Amino acid sequence: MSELRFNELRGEPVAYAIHRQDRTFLPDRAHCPLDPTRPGEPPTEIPLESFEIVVFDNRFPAFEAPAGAAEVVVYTDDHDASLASLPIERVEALMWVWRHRYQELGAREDVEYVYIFENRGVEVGVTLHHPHGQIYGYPFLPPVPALELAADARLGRCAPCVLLARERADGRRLLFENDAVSAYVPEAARWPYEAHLAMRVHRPSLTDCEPRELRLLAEALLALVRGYDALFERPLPYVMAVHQAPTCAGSPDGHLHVEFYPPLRTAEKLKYLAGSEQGAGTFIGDVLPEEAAEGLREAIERAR
Amino acid sequence: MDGKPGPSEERDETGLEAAPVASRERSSDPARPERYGPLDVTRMRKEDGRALIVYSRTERTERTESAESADVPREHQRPGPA
Ligand SMILES: [Zn+2]
Ligand SMILES: [Zn+2]
Ligand SMILES: [Zn+2]
Repeated sequence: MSELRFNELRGEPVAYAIHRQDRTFLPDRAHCPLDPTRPGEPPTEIPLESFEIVVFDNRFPAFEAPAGAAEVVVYTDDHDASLASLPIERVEALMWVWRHRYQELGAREDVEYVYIFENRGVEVGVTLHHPHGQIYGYPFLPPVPALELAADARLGRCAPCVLLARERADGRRLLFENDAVSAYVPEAARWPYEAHLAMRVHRPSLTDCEPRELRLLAEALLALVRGYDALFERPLPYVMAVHQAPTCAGSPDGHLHVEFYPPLRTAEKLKYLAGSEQGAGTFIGDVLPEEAAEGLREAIERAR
Repeated sequence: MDGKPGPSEERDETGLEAAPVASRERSSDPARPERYGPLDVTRMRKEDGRALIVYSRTERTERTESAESADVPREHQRPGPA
């Protein structure tokens, strides 16, 4: 059960997934619900002895039909892996899985925005360590994609295209590029080591990408998350957000990009969302994006 | 919210809409896989009725070739009205 209300003061919906309090919280290693089911043992969420990638309906959905969707994407049957440790072939397959889910959920009448994301690390509230991401099919256009559409209108054309061109011309915050993807720390990053991966050609969504671009996106994702883990020589917590074109009628445009928000300022210190961020909406940083980019570039090189 | 092309009529099959709880046999006897790009896609149903989709890349050795010759028809490009 979930309930959607509208917060008038902020002009935004708030969803209540009322059973979420009972959900599995960091079960011990032997009772991971995302592990494969071992012969003779009670079934986990996945009734198979081995698997590559599986997607299933979230048992504790924030959104569900006929008003949206909530899915879990399990990247591997290896509990101790992570996105960064997966072979490129698996990450490339994951791009196809994302594409398939975007296409299928986006075609539903009750899904206005398909949002693929990953929460990694207890610092961002992860309740299961097994490598996985999630997909929400929102029955409305959420505030952040709406802000990106407003940026398109403000800039007079596709905001990611404009910003990508600026980052490439400036160069100081560029992390790396391949034939299809550019990675950079945005000029006004909100998180200390925030990084964006953007398709260099205007591609509204994964379904507009050529197979070779999906492969190159997978390579870029791997290079970045491996670099992140090398940054402080520890698994770096992050929120990964995949932004694509909304799937509502009237089909607003979009530009496929992936944003990463790691909450760490140093190996140990968390960046908290406190008074200014929460009550006024203004982020206060203590690392300049150019410095962050330099550190991150070195870490990515070390991890290659 | 009208005018969406695409596979929305497959909703029942995906189990993403309220659907009867599948039998125990069903969940251990998945339907024949569909093909999507380099992936085999097998749809199953968990005992409580939730949808489960298994993706596998069976011919691992021909990965680049299979991705290049992905059998994804053009009309299956992005959802939403053109
Ligand atoms: Zn596990
Ligand atoms: Zn663009
Ligand atoms: Zn974005």
